Amino acid sequence: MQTDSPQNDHDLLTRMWAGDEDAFTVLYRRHQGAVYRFALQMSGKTDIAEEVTQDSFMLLMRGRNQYDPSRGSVSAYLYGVARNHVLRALERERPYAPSEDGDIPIDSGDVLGDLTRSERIESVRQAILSLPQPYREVVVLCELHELDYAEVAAMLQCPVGTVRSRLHRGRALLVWKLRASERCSV
Amino acid sequence: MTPNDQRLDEAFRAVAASGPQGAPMAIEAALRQEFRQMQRWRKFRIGASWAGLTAAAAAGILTLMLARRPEIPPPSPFVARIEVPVTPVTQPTRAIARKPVRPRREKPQAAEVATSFYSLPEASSMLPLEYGSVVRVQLPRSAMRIVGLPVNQDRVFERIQADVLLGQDGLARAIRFVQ
Repeated sequence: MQTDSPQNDHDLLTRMWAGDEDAFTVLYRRHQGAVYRFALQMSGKTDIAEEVTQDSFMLLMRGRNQYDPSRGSVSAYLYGVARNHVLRALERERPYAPSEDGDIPIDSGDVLGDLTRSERIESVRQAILSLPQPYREVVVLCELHELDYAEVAAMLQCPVGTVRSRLHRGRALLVWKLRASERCSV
Repeated sequence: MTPNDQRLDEAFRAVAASGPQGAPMAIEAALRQEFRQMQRWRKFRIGASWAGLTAAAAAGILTLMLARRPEIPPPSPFVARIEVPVTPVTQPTRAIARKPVRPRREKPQAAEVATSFYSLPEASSMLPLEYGSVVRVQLPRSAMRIVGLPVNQDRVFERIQADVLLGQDGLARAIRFVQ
């Protein structure tokens, strides 16, 4: 998220819950981008991303008794809420999606070498979307949103080591997928 | 870091920088609208809560006031205490022939016709009457003979209402018949 200022966010939340619409607007504008992009990068669908953004902020608006400042920042709370909404939406859309959690073949060939910039972006985006959900969310949060491992671990409620290993496997899977798609397109 | 890792990092940065960076403005507008509605509803609820509390307080005060009022015992439907002069009852007198207070009846009924009180035979040997109670009872018509009243032989088994005057010791002193 653009600025992670828990104290300010907390003040804004207090004002928002007291009925201050301006405080809500500032909070929304500060965090909506990250929530929306996370939902879009996880689902690849704008309608899901919009729905998730709206639902996440609605929950924040109404969740006076649900958000506990001692358990994390507003941004972490919003990421957590958005993640739950995304997973639910994906479950709804693809209830029988196959899991690709097997051994990853090591591929030392050059990836993305021959692609143009826009092709490269699209290939990576599609490759990320095709990752199994546990790897996808770690790649999105750590690589695209540049959150640190501890934050992601707290959000996913797993040890930091798990985040590291998932990221490692996720990256390896991406390299393999990108090489495979490059070979197919040639 | 391998060349592939470097390329991947560059690609991640490019992906992060590309595409829409935020939700459409319509979502903000919808959320703000929802926020306003929530505030209106919240204010309404607070107002309603205050109104409810005020009503509850008023009801509580009213209950307390009613509870503090001195209680008036309900009149007994059949028993009424009457004060009578402290004189032995030997003959039916007008003084005790006074009608006792009776509970008000719901439906208008035909007026009662009652005889005077007749002293019962054993009453003269009892303690002087200080106060008494009148009890409405049902007796066979033959009971009228006790005080010397005539009884139609054909109706001797019919039942008749009577008021019995009981003394302070609970013993019957006098009787009158009611129709």
